[in-house]
Amino acid sequence: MSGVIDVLSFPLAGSAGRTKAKVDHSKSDEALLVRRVQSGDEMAFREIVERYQSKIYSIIYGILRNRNDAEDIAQQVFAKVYFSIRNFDFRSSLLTWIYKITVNECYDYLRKKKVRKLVYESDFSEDDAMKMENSDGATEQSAPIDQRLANRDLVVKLLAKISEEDRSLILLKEVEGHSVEELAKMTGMNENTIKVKLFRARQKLLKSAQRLLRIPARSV
Amino acid sequence: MHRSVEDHIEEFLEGRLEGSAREAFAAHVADCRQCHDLASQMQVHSELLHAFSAPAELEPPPGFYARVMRRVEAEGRPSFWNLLLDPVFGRNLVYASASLVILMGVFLLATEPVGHQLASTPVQAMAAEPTVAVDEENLQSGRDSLLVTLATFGE
Repeated sequence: MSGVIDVLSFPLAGSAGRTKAKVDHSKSDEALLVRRVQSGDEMAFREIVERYQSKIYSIIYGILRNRNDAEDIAQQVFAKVYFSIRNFDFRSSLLTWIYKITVNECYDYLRKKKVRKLVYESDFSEDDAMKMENSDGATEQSAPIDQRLANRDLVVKLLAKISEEDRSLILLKEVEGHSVEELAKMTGMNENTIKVKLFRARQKLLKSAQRLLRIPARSV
Repeated sequence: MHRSVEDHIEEFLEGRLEGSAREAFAAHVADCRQCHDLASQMQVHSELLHAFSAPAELEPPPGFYARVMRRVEAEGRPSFWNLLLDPVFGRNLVYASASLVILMGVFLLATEPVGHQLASTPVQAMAAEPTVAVDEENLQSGRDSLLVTLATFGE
């Protein structure tokens, strides 16, 4: 049982003060921008695109690992934002809302294209491989590239088994690195709700992995 | 998984579990096989998910906004089917159809002959059939011409 206990000796980040205050997303600068788009101001829409395009493009590229597909899906995401923004109700931050659209679009795309084929056809260039190997926090630095692709393949399949909400939440936490407190602010839910949702999503991922890899299930 | 571990699993996975909570967590997973395995598996999944991180913040190719707006224009161009799916158009279509049905109904009721009823049996149908008014004068002249024809047949 040394694995988990060893991790506990990792250097700890300072704990952020926990704020329980709910963020009112309808009174921010971003909300003004959204209201301008809702009233038909195309310059405001352009501002939204320019503010988030690199973030959204990077998220999509992180999932699909293909620049052409990333560009295509990013265009689709912003087109959806354009047509749906009048339904945006300020319950979450704009970025969280766009993030959900982005992840859904990626998974729609993955559903249409065979997952395995996609992962192995990705334009995982030498340059990207170098960047990944040199990037801080890369967890699989020593793993060979086909092992990494196989892991990605597995993650894509596992995430396809959980709901859209769980998927976005897990990715915001694990890939974007947001804390529970930040997620609570972004989504307008309280921290305990976020924790419970994350825990259930993780349990579902484990169950799916057990089914997929045919590991005999213990009580999860 | 036991409650004490479930409550702190997120802090544990973030690597920021500290103080007495950290000690309690460590003590529990050292003794509880089930919690240890689950925490380990969740940690493995957490690391696997990092595979989705982009290598660096990437910029889309130049002219991205223009391409987005081209797509918006292409998708926003109303096709015949889009028009049918448009809720306002659909509602107006329903109102127009309902009005037309009502007008047609009123027209049909207004133009239907009064007193005309459909017979449900053949006997009623025969009884209801209007008797043809016999023109006695024409009938008599018809008979006369027939007799003339027969009388002159031999000649």
